[in-house]
Amino acid sequence: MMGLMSWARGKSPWIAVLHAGGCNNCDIEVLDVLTPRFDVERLGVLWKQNPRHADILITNGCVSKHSKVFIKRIYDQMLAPKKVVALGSCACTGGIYVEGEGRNVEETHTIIGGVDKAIPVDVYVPGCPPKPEAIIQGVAIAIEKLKKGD
Amino acid sequence: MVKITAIKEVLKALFKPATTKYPHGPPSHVPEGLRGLPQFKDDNCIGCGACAECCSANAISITDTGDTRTLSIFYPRCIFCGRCEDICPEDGIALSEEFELATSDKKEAEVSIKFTLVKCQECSSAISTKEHLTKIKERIMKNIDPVIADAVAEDLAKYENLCVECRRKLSYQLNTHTQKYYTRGWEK
Repeated sequence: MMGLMSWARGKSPWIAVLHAGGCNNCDIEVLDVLTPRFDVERLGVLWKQNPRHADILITNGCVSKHSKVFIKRIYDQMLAPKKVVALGSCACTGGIYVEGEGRNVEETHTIIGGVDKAIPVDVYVPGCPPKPEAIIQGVAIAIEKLKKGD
Repeated sequence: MVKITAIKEVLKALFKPATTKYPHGPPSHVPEGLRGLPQFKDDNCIGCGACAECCSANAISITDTGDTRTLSIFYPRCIFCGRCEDICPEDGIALSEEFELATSDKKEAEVSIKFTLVKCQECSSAISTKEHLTKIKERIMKNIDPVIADAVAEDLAKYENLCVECRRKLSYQLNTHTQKYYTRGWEK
């Protein structure tokens, strides 16, 4: 029975998009993925803006001290098994909004860095913003993980 | 007229669907000059670190450990602006057209290049890479006034393998002060 459920989940994951902060361009690029040109729904994905129904959470934008609490709350509302995709450079590390060089990310007075500072992340999609194909690739990796794990 | 073009599009889409087959096939359209992952060119890069200096997201970092200098791009932080490519004096870094960068492990998301450092004769602190020092020398000799070219070449030979601090300390001892150029009729 569990095998059947995880098979069905892998065939049709439901997705919620969360904007944490930053410039909003990754949000606009997510809209491109839904257009007939790229059409992510042919992978069985259903865009469901409700964390209680979603299997995959796509987060974009850097995490500020203010939004950290809300991201955690939304992540806790999701049912297991759940996967998180960090979309864009800001969600991966903090991007241009943080101090420090290379890997050493130092928080500023408002921004604490990437989404992985608040919740565990499964797939990172670098890009500023990522190309629609790169977003589809990230979602495909998350779907593979959903099929394999749990 | 508009309707005819629309009908044409519909007929085209019937035989050749507009939707890409991306995760199951190649990406349909990679535009020319797409700003993708920055890559170092092994033959051209001299390890001067100009790219790290101007990187707007601080994604490029220089680390000197012992005898080696490592220049690395931590690309989850990169915003693909292309300033590194613009500023590079030797065409040693360029943005490639690679964009499929999604990864589940952030630790391996890095592009790096390594150099051997030249040490100072006097105080054995790191100066720069050998390639960088030769390029500086070449550029000075190319742009110098021919009146004083031989004197400058002599001084550069004395300065070789000395760090900035030691050059200042030993300038009297080595007689490398610029005052002597004026006696040769150099008025610039």
